[in-house]
Amino acid sequence: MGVRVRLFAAIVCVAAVGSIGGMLIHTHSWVIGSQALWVLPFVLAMLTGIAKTTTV
Amino acid sequence: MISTIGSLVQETTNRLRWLLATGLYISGCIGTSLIVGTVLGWLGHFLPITGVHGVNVLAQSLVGILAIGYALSDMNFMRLPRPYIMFAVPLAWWRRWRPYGAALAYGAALGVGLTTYVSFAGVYFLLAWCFVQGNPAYGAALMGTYGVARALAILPGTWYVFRSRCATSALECQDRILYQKERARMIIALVMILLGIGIVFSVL
Repeated sequence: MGVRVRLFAAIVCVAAVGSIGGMLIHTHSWVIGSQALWVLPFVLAMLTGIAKTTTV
Repeated sequence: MISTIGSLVQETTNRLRWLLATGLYISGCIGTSLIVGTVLGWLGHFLPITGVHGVNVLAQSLVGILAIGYALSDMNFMRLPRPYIMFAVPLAWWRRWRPYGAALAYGAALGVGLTTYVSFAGVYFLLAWCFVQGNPAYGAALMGTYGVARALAILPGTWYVFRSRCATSALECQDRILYQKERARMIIALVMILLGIGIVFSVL
C-alpha cells in the first residue's frame, strides 16, 4: 500500500473518530469527551514542542 | 532548532557551564511561552460569548476549521500562509552575548512560537485556542506545556554534543533527529484533524 493511500486512510479514520466524538459531546451523551477537548490540546502542545527539535 | 544546540554548548568547557547555558535557554523558553499564553488568554476574555454554555461558537468553530486546514497544509494537500517573525534566530546573538546571554535570548525568542519559520502548524492552533478559551490560566498552562516540551527536548541533544566533543558524531546525531521531521509532521497533522473535527462537531 502506497504512502499516499495509507495517509488518506489515516485521515479518514481520525476524521471519523473526531466527528463521532464531537457529535457525542454536542448531544451531552459523552461527558468525558468534553474534558478531552480540554486535554487533547495539551497533547498537541507537547508533540509540537518536541517536534520543533527536528527543525533547523 | 537542533542547530542551536551546538551554539549553546560550544564554549561550555565543564559541566557547570553546560548546566548554566542550557538552564538559561530552558528558563527563557518556558518564561516567554507562559507570558504568550497568559496574554492571549487574557485578550480572549474580551471575546463576546455567543453560545449557551459560555462558549464562543463562532470563534471555536473557526479555530477548528483552522486546525483542519493547517493539518492538510502540513500534509502538503494545500498551501496556507505561515506567518513568522524571522526565518531563524540570528547567529549575531551568539557572537555578541555568548554563551549565557545568547542561550537566554535564543530560549526567550523561541518560546514565543512564531519567532522562527513555523514547520509544524500546531503552533497556530495552540495560539488561537488559547485566545478563544479566554482564560489566562488555561492559556498559560497550554503554552507552558509547549514551552516545557520545546525547551526540555533540547536537553539530551546538548548533553550528547557536550559529552561527545566530536563534530562528526554530533552531526550524525543531528541528522538522525532531522530525519524524523516528516514523521513528526504527519502525527501532529493527524492530531490536529482529530481535534479540529471534534471541536467543530461539538460546538455546532
